[in-house]
Amino acid sequence: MIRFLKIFLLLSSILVLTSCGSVNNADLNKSIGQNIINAPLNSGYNTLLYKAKVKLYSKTYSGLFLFKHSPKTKIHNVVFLSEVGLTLFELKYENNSFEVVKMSAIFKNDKAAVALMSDLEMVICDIYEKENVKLVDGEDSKSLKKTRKRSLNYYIYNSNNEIYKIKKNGLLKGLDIELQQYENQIPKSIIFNHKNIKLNINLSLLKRDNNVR
Amino acid sequence: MSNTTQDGYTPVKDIKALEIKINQASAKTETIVSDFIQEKHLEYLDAVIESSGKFWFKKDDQLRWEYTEPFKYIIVINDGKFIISDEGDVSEYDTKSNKAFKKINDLIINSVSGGLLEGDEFDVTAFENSTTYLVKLIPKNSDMEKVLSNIEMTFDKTNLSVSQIVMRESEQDFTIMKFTNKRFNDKISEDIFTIK
Repeated sequence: MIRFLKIFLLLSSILVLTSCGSVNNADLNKSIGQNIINAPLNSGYNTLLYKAKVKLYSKTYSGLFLFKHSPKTKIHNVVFLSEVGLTLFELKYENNSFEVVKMSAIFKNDKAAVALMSDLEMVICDIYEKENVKLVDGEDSKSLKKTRKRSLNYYIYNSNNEIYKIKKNGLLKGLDIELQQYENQIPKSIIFNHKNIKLNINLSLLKRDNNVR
Repeated sequence: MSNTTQDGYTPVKDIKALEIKINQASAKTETIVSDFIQEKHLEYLDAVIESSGKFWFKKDDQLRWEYTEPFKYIIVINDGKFIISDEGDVSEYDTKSNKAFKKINDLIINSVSGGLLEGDEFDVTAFENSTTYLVKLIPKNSDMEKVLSNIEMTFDKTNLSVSQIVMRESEQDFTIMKFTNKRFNDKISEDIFTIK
């Protein structure tokens, strides 16, 4: 039985690798040239305010997501608050990991909180951290493949170097993120769809402050 | 920072007398219609999130709280129901069977009507200057305390209506609601308190 499982896992990994086209291991800087592509909310703004709808199983949480980025400190802060202003959780992202600054009892011990942090990391992280990134040439698109925490993350971008899809593959980690309506390099719509848990996050941009401080 | 030290506020000695005055003014008010501006302050992040809208209140417990900028979001409280319309998606909750929504229901209604001073949910202190009363409410209930460290309500001395509410989660994390263009005892159609 264990042998069967190992074969199954091996086959699954091969399928994941082959389904994304041929892998080109060439040096990234040469391949991408001067266009450095990074996670969509990694930089280029001071604050972003999104209207958010988080659907987890039968529950729906709505509110606002505030993304704050400081290029000097390289710290990202993400605050989820209700429409009436109460802070539901606040996260600080520094050195490639999250610190929970505040979390409402609603989200404590909740799978949603763990999944949310993992999802948010996909859109704010430095893709090139630890240089475990490869360029993948597909037939119709190009993508950056990043290996992190036993999962394979693909950042698929178009000819304008705008990432329009992020795919996360791994055991129990299936996630597709769709990014649309770019304006000045920031997507106005971000939709997170999980494959293995009933979790869907829908973000629509309300306001942007570009005054990088 | 609390504004009790600003604007020349001094402590109100007879809080009971102030409570009676507010209740008397509230008794004469059948309806309130007002615009509001909400500012969420996250001072440590140097961020202020502003939204605005309009509310309608009809005695005893009918309320429509409608955000129009920068998003569309409506809360209606009517006949024991708490209804939310989020960009057209409507959810309905029964405040009689849902304790959390009953608490939110009471908090919103009493904030608007000035009824928060009644009951024993809060420790109350009050201050005054030449134009306003500032009432500071500290929750006694541990559930409420987990969410809000205090609430500050400002009442206009002219008509004893609420002109501003500050809901403070911590020193640097708080929400200010400012009420403008207030109208009292206007006729309000029942349709306002429904969502179709």
